[in-house]
Amino acid sequence: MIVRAFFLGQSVAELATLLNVPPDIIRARMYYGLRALHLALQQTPS
Amino acid sequence: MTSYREWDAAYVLGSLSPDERREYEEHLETCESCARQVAELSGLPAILSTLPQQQAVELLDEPQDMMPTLITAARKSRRWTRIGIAAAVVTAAALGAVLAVVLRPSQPTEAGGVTTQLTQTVPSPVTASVTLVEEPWGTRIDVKCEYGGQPGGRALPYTLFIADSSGALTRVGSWSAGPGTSMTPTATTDVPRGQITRIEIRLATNDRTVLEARF
Ligand SMILES: [Zn+2]
Repeated sequence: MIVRAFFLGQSVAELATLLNVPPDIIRARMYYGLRALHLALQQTPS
Repeated sequence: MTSYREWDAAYVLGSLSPDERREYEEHLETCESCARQVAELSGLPAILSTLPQQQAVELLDEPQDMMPTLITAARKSRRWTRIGIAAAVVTAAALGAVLAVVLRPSQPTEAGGVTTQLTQTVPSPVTASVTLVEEPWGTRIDVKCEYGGQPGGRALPYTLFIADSSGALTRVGSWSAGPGTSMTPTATTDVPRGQITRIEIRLATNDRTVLEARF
């Protein structure tokens, strides 16, 4: 989701259509994905 | 009324439509908690942008091979040298693990490890996932193995093998399971997490691989 949004510049609406899931779910996946990334980077030394 | 609580990530990734963006920015002016969330995530796009786009996009096709790809990419990329190779490799590995989870949201991450679903190499009622946990002495492998069907059938012996980057194949565990049961054996190895290239579950009676995962 993050790769698609950030690197391919796909919007919430496009992803919702492409993956056939409601926009709310797309936003939620981004929400949890970015938080997981944030956490992993904080736990990484240096 | 719309809940904006989960809009922050889409916003910092630039993924909201212009209308949604305006709407959310208006909300941010009046909502302290959303504004704080956005501030927390605001550094991440810069970190993401250090990954070469081509590599990132390739991850979409083969998420299970993401980690080595990212690490190789990190070593090759000149951008990384500015922040230092060691830091870059660690960051790429963390990012790889997270992206793998993000791209396959059905697979939960457990504390300290990433869970991978094994693929069936021959059709069978057995499905399994493995969680690899890095330890100071090597790697702990937590297996979750489900045997479909009605309980009561004959139990069969299974063995767990790992292949490392030198090509060596080592038997690290065994258990037996019958229809309608779920087993959670744990195996350990002195091979570091990053050097495990493949995990196989074999049916011990004929030594045939029934499930495998490649890393
Ligand atoms: Zn709010």
